[in-house]
Amino acid sequence: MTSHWCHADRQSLFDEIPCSVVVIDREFIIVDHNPAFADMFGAGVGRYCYSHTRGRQSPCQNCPAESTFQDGQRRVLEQNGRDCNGRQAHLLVQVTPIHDSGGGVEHIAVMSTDLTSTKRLQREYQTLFEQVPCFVAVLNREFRVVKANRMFRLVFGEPTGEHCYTLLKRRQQKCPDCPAERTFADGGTHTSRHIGVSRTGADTHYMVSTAPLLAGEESPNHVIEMALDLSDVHMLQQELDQASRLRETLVEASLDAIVVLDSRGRVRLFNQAAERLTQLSRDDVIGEKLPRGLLPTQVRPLLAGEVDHCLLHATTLTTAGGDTLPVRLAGVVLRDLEKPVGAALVIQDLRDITRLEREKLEAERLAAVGQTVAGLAHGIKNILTGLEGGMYVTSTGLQRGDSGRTKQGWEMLERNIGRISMLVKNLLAFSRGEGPKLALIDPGEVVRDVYELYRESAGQHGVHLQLGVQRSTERVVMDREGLHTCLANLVSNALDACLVSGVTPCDISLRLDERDNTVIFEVADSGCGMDYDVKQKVFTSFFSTKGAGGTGLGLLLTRKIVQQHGGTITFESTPGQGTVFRLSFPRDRLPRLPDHDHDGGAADQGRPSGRES
Amino acid sequence: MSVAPGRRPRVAVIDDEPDVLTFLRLALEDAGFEVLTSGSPAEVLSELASFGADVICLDLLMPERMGLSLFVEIRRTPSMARVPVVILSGLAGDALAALDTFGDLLPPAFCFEKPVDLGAFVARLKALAHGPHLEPA
Repeated sequence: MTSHWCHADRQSLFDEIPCSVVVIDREFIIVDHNPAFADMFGAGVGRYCYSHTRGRQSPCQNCPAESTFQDGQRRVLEQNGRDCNGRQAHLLVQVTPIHDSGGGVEHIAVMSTDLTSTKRLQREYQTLFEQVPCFVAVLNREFRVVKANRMFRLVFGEPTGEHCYTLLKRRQQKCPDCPAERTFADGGTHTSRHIGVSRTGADTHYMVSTAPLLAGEESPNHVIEMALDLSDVHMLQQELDQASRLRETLVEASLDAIVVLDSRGRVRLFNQAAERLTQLSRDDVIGEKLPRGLLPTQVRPLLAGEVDHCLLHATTLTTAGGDTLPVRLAGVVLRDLEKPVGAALVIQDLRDITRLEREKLEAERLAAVGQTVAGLAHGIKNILTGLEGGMYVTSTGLQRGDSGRTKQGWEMLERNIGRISMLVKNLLAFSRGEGPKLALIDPGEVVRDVYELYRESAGQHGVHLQLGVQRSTERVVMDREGLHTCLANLVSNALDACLVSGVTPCDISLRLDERDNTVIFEVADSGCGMDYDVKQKVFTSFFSTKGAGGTGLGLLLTRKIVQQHGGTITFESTPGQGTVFRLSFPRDRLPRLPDHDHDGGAADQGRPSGRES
Repeated sequence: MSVAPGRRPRVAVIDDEPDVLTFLRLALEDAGFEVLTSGSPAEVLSELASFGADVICLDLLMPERMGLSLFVEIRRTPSMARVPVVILSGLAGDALAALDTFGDLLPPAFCFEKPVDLGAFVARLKALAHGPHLEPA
């Protein structure tokens, strides 16, 4: 076969071949090389190859060229070397004998291909494959795991050719929606969610992606499968859903109206109770502003973001139908970090409570009237006794012609008739409910006055009267004299209880306290206490009054005064251990001064606000 | 503790109503009693002890409501622990019922509700003053 292939062509090939070629003789002296070699190691004809490429003084150990000179065999191997710039190079080296005409090997061609960048890519790929924080496996067409990354091996163990579905899902058959199958079919990338089973048997939620191992393969032989464990995310999602459902249920089930407004005053949440209370449909208000005038004006500072929260114990709400309802309202500004994003309002319908309160006050008033009548009857009986005495003294005086005695009897008659008319006036005053004389007073001062009043006489009876006044109790709007009467009555009762008990030393403590915005007066004794029967009778007889003297009406008066201030009187008593009487005045129920004369005094016309019938 | 022959029975009346005191003093004196009256329960105890009452008539509900304490103090005074006490009160029934609950003390012998039936009252006081008194069960 004739050929145009000539020496020039050979030389050209030698020069253009994209790998470095060097020819050495048996002395390892470079006899020729191509430009690619020169690019890598510099021109070096005539130099020892080990000296030129490696900087050595003697041939390398295990030199492949030496072996090839000996056996004439061609060799391929990978070597690490350095180029003329000192750069580490990973080389694929082919050592080829050049036979001379006699068949001997006098020269050898060494061809080197630089694999450095390929190797680096390989290493990077391997690192990525191993370290990526999800399960990565290579599957063959039978869906067997032929290679798995570190995380996969940690969880599922070293793969020994099991099916992917056995490892990840403990299944015996391929999954019906296998993304790997689709990738095998179309060479595309596919993603879907799967629920697998962990080694402990728990459900594990995966996001699975599959791709052909070699890009561009139309019908790939291997698929790389990546499964990301989303179980934690899934669990959080479920918890969030649950919390959200719970919140919705609670809000809807609440008996109190709950309204949430955004920063522009538009309704974001409006529960059923809010619909009932306002007579508005949530469909009409969600996303809209509430009708003007619905909320009390005191809420404005909250909605304007001027205050962080507000609590209106007794305010009103105007319904869509124009009714004004008594409500209690609590509001709080909602913040996202620091920025206000709206406000939440909880509104309690007070209609029932107000009605019950009114009924209770009325019942208490009726009971008080009944007890007053009993007390007055007692007073009347005393007067009748006085009248009877007057008649006896008058008539015996007349019989005996004793004018002094007759006069004495007549005076008794006059006096007791006078008392009857006073009693009737008192009765009228009581039943009319004369208002207390209100002023802003220091409750602690009244408590101390009563303490001083009784301290000495208590001491004389071997009773130790103690005073406990919380220093910071703010002033209250009350009838000073009325409060004094109440406390004096209670201390006097306690003294009696101590004297009767005969226990020495017997203690009475007179305390003033404030808890939950309620001013509390307490008179506790370690006296005889009361059993059930006495407790019943105490309220109908002992704590009643003689009535006629105008010095007060005992417990009835105490109760009436307490009631006029919106307060309650309660007691606890244990026979043989003592009794505690407690007067509680919630501040928000205390009467208000008629004008803003906060220094008190001129408040004769002061009436408790709306508490009297 | 019955009245010795020839001695007038002694009754102590404690009530804060001056007219009631006047009335009872005159009426009881007319009925033959030696009468000690007092309107102040706070000061009466020593007076009572030296008076040596055969029967004590006590209003339980006085303004300072010391009547109850006075009753207890009378009972705690050895010389008067067993002297019959008659309660005279506007609310006698309730008062007596409540007094039943005060432990070992000898309860009042009787309660009269005001206005008092003078005849029955005097008769009862005489009977009590002359004893013998029934001991409580």
